[in-house]
Amino acid sequence: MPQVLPFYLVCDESGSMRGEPIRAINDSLPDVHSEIGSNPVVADKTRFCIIGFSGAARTVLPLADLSVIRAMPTIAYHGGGTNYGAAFELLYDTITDDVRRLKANGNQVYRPAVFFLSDGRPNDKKWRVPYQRVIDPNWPLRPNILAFGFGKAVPATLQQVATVRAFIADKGMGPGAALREFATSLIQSIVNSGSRPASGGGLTLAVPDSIPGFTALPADPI
Amino acid sequence: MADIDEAALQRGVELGSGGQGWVYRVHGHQEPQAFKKYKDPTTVDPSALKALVDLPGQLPPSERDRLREQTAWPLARIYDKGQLSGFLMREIPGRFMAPNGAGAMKKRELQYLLYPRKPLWGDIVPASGVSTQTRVDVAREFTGLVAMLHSRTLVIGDVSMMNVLWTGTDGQPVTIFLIDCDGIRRLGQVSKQFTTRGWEDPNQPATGPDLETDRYKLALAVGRVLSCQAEIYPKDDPLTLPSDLPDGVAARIETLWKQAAGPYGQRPDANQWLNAFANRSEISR
Repeated sequence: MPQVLPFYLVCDESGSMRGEPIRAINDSLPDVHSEIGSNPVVADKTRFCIIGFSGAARTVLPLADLSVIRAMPTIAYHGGGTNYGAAFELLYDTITDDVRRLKANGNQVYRPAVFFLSDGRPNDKKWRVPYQRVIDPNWPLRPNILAFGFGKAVPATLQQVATVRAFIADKGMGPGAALREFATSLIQSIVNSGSRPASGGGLTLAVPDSIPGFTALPADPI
Repeated sequence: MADIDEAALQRGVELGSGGQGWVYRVHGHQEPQAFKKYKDPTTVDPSALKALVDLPGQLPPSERDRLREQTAWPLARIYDKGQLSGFLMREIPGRFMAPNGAGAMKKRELQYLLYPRKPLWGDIVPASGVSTQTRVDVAREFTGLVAMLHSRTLVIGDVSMMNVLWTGTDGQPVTIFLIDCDGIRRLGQVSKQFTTRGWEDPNQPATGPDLETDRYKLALAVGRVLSCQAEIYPKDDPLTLPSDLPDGVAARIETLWKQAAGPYGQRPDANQWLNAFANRSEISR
């Protein structure tokens, strides 16, 4: 039975991301596409989805095999604030539908991995409600969440979002440089997860130990 | 070569990194060389590495040349302040690298023979694909190397679609190159159990990888390359051999594939595969 590990990039598209940050992400997405897509075993074993969020959340790239899509879409500012709650609601529904579809197609699906990226604090006070559903220990599809912050992101909030580890860009790092390092780390994690040696036979998320220009903080999920 | 002090190396760019360590280009030698630096050198047996370094000197010239041509064999141990830190090896020859669709240089690994070609692969495999003859030649060249290593009771251990490189696209002659050679051991020596998912021997004994487990993995490599399938297994799956493979060769390959599903001790050896490629009758073992 083919084995698949789905990856979800949940990416802030709010007003503060306009300009250099969004440009930096969009410049990196083609690298993600070609590095994963041109590596047969990694493309075979992983899938990639992009969810963007600002005032609302939207699916930027439905879960895809990167070796078959022609080009990556781009993220863009869509108005409104920074609504973490909407992101987690869409993430929950998307993971539910994706895993159902992957299994219906005969795949053995491993625990999804989420790379959550934000440069600011959430506007919505009640984001923890939909978040709780995503990390509920009784939900068999609950993902492993890595949280990445830069700009005005609040470290403690990102530690709460993360279930494995959080990474906060160091003060001196400009957004462009931080996002390039983030993209490299995302690529390496997907490649290593898809191709690392067996230890029990399944696929597991290869978590970055350290990222240049970022400080790693332990997860502190609420 | 004698042990070398890491401080004496002229270290260049990082060429890559993996689970075990980083690989750097090293300057100052006529032939391009690379330094593999271990992330955790305490997991490496320095005497086993020394045995690998010393081996080519103990071989007849033709075998020594073959190791040099077809493998990234450890050439010298590297020490840093009295501790083993890695080893020196030949840099992967340029002909085993090719640009993908975005122009990034990638190793032409065996895995590119195991999946249908995608546009993103760029020049790693051209759009016209790979001929049956190229597949047979790659399988045969790799089997020939395994035959030589096994004749010296050397166990490769971790055979997989990531550590065999090949040439043979666009009319180039087929050559192969084995990387990650530092795990190779003389039969009977204990080695770490690195295996790649989908390439494990289900009948591996408790003593670990040996010539028989290598034989199983050789069958996986040959069967999968000829079938263009990444995950078929002798026990459960038929081969999907190309229709232009000569009938005699196809029949022999099918027989050996089924034999590889057998118990430990009964897998075909490298010479049996070589006879199959040559459509030669075997002399019974």
